[in-house]
Amino acid sequence: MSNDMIDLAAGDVRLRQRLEAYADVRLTPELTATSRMRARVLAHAHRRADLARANAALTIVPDAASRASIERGHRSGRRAAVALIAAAILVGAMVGGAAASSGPGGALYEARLWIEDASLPSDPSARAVAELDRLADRLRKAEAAARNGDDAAAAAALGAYERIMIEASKDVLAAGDPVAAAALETGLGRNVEVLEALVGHVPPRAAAAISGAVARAIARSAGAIDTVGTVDRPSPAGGAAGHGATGSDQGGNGGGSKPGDGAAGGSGANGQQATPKPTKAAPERPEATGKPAATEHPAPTPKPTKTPKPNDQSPGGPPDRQD
Amino acid sequence: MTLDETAVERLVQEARSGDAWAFGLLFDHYHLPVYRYIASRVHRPSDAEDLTQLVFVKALEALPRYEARGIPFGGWLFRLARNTVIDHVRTRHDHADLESASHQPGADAGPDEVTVARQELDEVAAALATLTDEQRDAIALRFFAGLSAREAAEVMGKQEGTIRGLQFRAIAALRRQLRIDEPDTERGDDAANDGRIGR
Repeated sequence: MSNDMIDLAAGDVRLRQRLEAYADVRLTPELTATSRMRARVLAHAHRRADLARANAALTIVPDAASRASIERGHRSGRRAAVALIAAAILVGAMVGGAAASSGPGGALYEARLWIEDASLPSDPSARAVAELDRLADRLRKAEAAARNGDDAAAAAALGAYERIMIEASKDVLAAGDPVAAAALETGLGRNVEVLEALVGHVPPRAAAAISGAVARAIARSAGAIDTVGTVDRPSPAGGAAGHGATGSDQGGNGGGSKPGDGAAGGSGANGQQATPKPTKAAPERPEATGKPAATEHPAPTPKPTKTPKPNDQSPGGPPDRQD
Repeated sequence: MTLDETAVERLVQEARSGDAWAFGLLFDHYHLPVYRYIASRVHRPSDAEDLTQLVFVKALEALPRYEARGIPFGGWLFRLARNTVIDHVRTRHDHADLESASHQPGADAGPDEVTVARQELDEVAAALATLTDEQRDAIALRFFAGLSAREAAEVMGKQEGTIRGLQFRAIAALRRQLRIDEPDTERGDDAANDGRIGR
């Protein structure tokens, strides 16, 4: 608590100290909480700013003269255009609304994911938080589907979860933003706990399929947490090394995923996109140059010294051999 | 982070015109006092986090309608915070949850120190819980959020003198509850009554 906050009665130091201690310990947010709040608020701010910019770009303000001519000459045409635009907006809203409300495994579920992708904010930390919100939504969907024994919907939701998680990890790595990385790492850690709890709630008849998908999502989450954890490293070389290691991990997981569900698309994409990253680790090659040290072993070449006969240690040995 | 009123108003103008970075600076400046005020009223840290976030989102949405009109941005923000807390308490029937509100004292403190510190903090929490809603509001705004008596009065929609009275009675009650002796200086109470709290 800052000194300018309290100046109680002149002699009442003890009450002030106790209130200060109380505020410091119990009324101060943890750093992670502050990061979360900031990232979410800024995500909202960026979204608003993007919307305002988009609205401004779409607003056309004709000058007075042209407005008059438009009104005189194109009144009927404008009515038709307005009707067409209104119809297009209506259809678009219906399709968008249907996509937005489409559930896992539904016909428009992919469209929904695409719409969500397109509307993500550009700020790294705001984007990470938005991705976490999407992940939480997929977890809720997966949980609901698992509870109903709908293994197809659960697999679709978990597949979407994995895909979003991989995209989010890649975005955070590309941005190299430590706040975004911390937010994503914390959120993914929490999601792992939710996934682990989910395994216990799967109905027996759908246990095998859903448990497999959940186990894969947990493994992928752990890999992503490792990947994102490398962002904190200050030097870009360290980050590149981390990418390489985790990229191969994810590739391995991708190979193990089933081809039929939504996870397959995500994992395949990940496997392909993670592999180029090890090339960034090229600066580490100097470590490999250490291997030539083994060539120092030729030191044993003095072995030929065994050949000289005993008691003949004088430099005149070789001439004796020549003889 | 310290900002004077002019800088705050400039940031507010920039945020109103869609500058997210400016709003981020406003968040940095105000989030701790807002969080402290809310946390002192709702007790559960997760609720305090959610509500603090909500206050700033509400502020962002309402920013186009904000005009200084004699009320500085900080006062306007705390009024939003207070209304948010009132709505939350009304709808959730929130009660003090001392266990969930307790944080660990310093990690390097020994077991005895931890017990003593926690006990002292629990005593303060219990003492605050005995205050009336208005007294607790006044204490939270003055001491935890660091507002002046005038600012607290604006936020609570009361006269400055009323706030001083609430504060005086709250301090007396806290002293009694915490068994802290009256200050030996003669003008101690007068000073408290005069609202000699900084800022």
